[in-house]
Amino acid sequence: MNNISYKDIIEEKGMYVATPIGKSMWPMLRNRVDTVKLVKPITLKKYDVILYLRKNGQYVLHRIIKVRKNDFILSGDNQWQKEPGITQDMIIGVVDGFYRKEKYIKNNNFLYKMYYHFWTRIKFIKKFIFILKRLIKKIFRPKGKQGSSDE
Amino acid sequence: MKIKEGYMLREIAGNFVVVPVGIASKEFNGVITLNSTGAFLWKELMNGLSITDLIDRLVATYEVEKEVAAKDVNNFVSILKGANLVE
Repeated sequence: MNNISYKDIIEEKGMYVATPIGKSMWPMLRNRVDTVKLVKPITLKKYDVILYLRKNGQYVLHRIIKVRKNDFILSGDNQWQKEPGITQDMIIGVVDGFYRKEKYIKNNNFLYKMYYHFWTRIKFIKKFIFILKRLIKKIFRPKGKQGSSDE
Repeated sequence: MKIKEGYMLREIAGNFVVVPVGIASKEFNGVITLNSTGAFLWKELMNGLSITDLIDRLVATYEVEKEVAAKDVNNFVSILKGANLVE
């Protein structure tokens, strides 16, 4: 199915429901477990989760972490990398809500809002701690283990 | 006859959709849209039911004639079988 089809379905039916594959949006979405409801993207804002098509043909579901004049910067909830250069024409749909097993959570749910405000802040603190731990491990690694591959 | 494991029926804003989860999402790429009758039949088939029982349930719930119900059930089941969604 190409992006025109997804767009067409959203246009025609008003929504599209999909099961995300991958771990980049964990803990919000679990690989092949939860499902998202996508609707037509009208006014996108920070923290919206969107489905977009990369130039290499890959479909991605990530969160907007910054809205700029000409593009959006995105990142998965389980990622530190930021992806700039996502433009409006690449965007297929925006998540209106999602199922965690049998429970439907709409994107204006109070607890969900708390989650993404909290998570997007601490994930960069987690990155700092991760780097620090790796650095400490490298410094204090026994000489005999130098060069062993654990990365 | 029973719906295979890994297919979840969701009702979103009055629409019924079936989405594959887990291993089923590797085998089936897409979503199934159902009307309310289709959703009813789907729910009944989730617990496992024969075609005869399914027709009887449809007649009892929707008050349709048995011949009409039988035609609808057979059509529905053949679509499910064609998509390899039942066992």
